[in-house]
Amino acid sequence: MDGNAAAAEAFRLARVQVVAAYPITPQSPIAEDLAKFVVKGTLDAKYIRVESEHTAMSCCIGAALAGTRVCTATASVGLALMHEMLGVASGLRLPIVMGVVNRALVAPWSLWCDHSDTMAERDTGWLQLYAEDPQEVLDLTLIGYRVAEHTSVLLPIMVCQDGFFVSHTGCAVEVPEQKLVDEFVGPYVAANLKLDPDEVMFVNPLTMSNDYTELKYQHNVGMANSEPVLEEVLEEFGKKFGRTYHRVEFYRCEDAEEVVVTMGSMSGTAVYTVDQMRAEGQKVGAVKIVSFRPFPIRLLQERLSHVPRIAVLERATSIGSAGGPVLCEVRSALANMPIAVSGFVAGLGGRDVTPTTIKKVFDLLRTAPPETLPTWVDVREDAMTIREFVVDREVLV
Amino acid sequence: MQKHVVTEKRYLLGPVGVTFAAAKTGSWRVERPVQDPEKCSACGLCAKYCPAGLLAVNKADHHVTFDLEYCKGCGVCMNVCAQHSITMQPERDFV
Amino acid sequence: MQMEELKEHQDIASWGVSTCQGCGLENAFRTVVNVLGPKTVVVIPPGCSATFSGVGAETCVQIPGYQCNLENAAASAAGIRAGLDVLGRTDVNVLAWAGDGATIDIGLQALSGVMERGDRIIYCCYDNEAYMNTGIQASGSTPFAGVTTTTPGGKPTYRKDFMQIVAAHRIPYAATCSIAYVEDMKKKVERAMTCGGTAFLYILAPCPTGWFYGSERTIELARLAVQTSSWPLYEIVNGTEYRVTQKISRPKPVSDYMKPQGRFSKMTEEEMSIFQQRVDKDYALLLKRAEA
Repeated sequence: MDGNAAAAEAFRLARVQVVAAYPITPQSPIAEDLAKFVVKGTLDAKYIRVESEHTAMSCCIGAALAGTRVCTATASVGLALMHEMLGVASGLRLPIVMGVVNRALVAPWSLWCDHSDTMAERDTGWLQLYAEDPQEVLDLTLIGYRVAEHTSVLLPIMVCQDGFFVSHTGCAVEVPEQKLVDEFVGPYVAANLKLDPDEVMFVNPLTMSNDYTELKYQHNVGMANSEPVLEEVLEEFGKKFGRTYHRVEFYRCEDAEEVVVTMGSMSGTAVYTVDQMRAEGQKVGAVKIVSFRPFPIRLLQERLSHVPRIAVLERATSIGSAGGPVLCEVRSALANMPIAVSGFVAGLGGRDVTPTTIKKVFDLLRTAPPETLPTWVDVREDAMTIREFVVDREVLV
Repeated sequence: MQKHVVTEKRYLLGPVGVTFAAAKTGSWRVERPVQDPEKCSACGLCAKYCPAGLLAVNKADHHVTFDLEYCKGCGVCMNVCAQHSITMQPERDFV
Repeated sequence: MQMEELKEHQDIASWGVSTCQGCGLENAFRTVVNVLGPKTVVVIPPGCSATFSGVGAETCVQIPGYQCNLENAAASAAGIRAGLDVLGRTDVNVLAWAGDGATIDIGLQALSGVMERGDRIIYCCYDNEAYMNTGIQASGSTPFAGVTTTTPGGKPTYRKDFMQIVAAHRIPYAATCSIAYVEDMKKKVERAMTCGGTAFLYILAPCPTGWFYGSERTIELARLAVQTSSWPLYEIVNGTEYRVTQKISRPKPVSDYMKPQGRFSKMTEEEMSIFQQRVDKDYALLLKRAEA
C-alpha cells in the first residue's frame, strides 16, 4: 500500500463522518479512494465533492461545528488556497485531521516533493506531524484523531507525507483491525463550540482587542498541552498496535560527534547513510523530527546537548530569513548550548536526497566553518545561466 | 418523577457569543414616532414594516405602542401609514 | 399591548441590533428567520448582517449561528448541512444569509458549487447593491449609473443578472423578494424550506445610507422597485419554470424609483431613458418565460 492508500484507509478506519476533498496531484488517489469507500459502503460518510480546497476546508469546519468527525487532504497550492481557513479551523479549536502530501509551491510550477507547502502554514496554529513511510502515514493519522479530539488540546492536525516518495511508493503496511481502531479512537463527541439548536451559541463573532489576546492565549495553551498528550497517545498506540513512535527519533546519537536532522522520507536515507558511515568508523547520528508542531524543544535539548556539531537538512527555504524553517527552530531550541548548528537546503522541487547528498552534508558540517545562512548543498554551479534565450534582431548599421 | 431544570456550567474555548443581548439603539434617536389613534385604522402596516419589529397595534382602541428603548426613529412607520396617523417629532421635545 | 408583553414576544433576532435606521436587511432577516423558526442554524459572512452575529460574548440571535468568511457562506452552510444530516438532524434548517458582495462577487464560486451539488441549504442574498458595511463600494450588483465610492462617476456597467446565473444551475427553487411584499416573501421562504434541495432567495434590501435617501422611505422604495418592474417578483422552479408572483400590469416609470435616490443623481436623462428600455426589455423577457 502506498502513502495515499494508507491515508485513505486510516480515514476509513477512523470512521470519519464527513469528507470534503478536492483533487490535486499527488493527493488525488486519497480523494478517489474515499469516494469509492463511500459508494461501496465501507465508509459511512457524507462525501462533499467540493469545487475548491478553500471550500473543502470551509465544509470541514462547518461539519466539525455541526458535531461530526471530518477529514480532508491536499497538497501544494491546494493547501495554500486553504490558508485563510486554516486559522479559522485552529482558532475555533476544531479537531480536523488533514492529510497533506508535500509538494512544492509555485512558482516555479512543480508536481514534486518539498516541504514549502506545509512550512508556509507553520504559523496557522495547527499541529504538524511528518511521516517517513506509508505505515507511519496510517498510524499517525489514527493517532492524530486521538490527539486532536483530546479535550485539553482541541486543535486541528496535518499529517504530512512526501509527495511521490511516500504517497506513490508501495510498501508492506500492517492495517490494524477495525475493532482495535474503534477501541483506540472511539466516537467523536463535540464538547466545545458547536451548532446545535438545543445548546445555542454564536460561533466566531467579531472580537475586540479586550478579548482577542485571551482567545489566542487559550489556543497557545492547547498547543502546549498537545505535547504531553501526544507522548501519552504515542505510547498507548505502541502498546495496543505494537508500533511505538516518538515525537523525535534519535538514531545512534548517544556518542555522535556529528548529527543530521531531517523530516519525512529522507530520514530513512539518513539512517542508511549513518550506518554506512559508522561502518567506516565515523561517529555520526541521525535525528528524525516527527512532530514539527508542537516543536519538541525540550526533547532536542535533553538528547543532543552533548553533540558538538549538528546539521539541519531540510526540503524548504525561508528566503530572506536567517535560516530555513527547521534550522531556525533547532537553533532556537539549542541556543544556549555550545553546539554548532549548520543549515543545509536540498531536495527542493522533488530533487532526490541521496546518501551522497547526506555524506556531503556531514563532510561540510565537519570541515567548513560554521555559517549563519544555510548552504544550498545540491544546487548546480550553473544556476544563473540555465535558460539561454536567443533573439535575432535586425539592426541598421 | 419530576422534571427538574439542571444548570450545567462549562467554559468554552475560542470566540463565541454566549449571551443574547440587545444594544440600546433607542439612544440613536433624533426624532420619535407619535401616533394619533383617532386617525388610525388599525391596518397593522406600521407594525409589519418596522425594521426592528417594535410596534404593537391594539385593534380595540387603535393605539400603537413603540418600544422606545430600541426605536431608532427611522420614520418607516410614518411613511407607510396611509392614514397619516403617525408623525415624527423631535426627540428633544420629550427630553 | 404593555411593554412587558411586547418583550415576551421578542423574536429570534434581538430588537437592539446595530443596523442603520431604516435598514432594509433588518426587516428581511426578521421575516425570514421567524418563518424558519428556532430549529435553524444561520451562517453569516462579514457584512451588514454581521450586526446580528454580535460582538465578543454577546450575540443578537437566539438560534445557533456561525460567522464564516466573506466568500464561503454557501460552503460553510453545506458543511453544516452534511454534519447535521449525519447526526440525524434533518429537521434543522441551514440558512446562509449573505449580502450581494459576499454572494455575487467573491462568493460566486462557493454558491455555484453548492447549487451544482444540490446541497440542501436555504441561501438568502440580501441585496443592498454595494459593499455597504465597508463603506459603500460598488459590487457586481450595483446598478448602472449607481454612484459608490469606487464608482464615483456612476457605474459604467450593468449589474450581473444573478437570477439567470442561479437558473443555469437548475436548482429546485429560486425566487426574488421585496420587503414591501411581506406575505409574498413568507410564502417563498416556506417553499424554500420544503423544496428538498438548494433554495435561493434574492431579497432587495434598500439602504438609506448607501442609496442616499431619507430613512423613512425604505419600504416605499422596496415597493416602487417592484411597481416599476426594476425588481420583479417571480420564482424559477428547476431553472426552467418561471412564475411571476406579483403581476404589474402597467409598470411605473423607473425614474419614480430612481430619482428619490441620491446615488443616481449623476444620471442623465438619456441614460435614464436607455435604462428604462433595458428594464422594459428584461421585464418583457420575464413575462415571455413565465408564459412558456
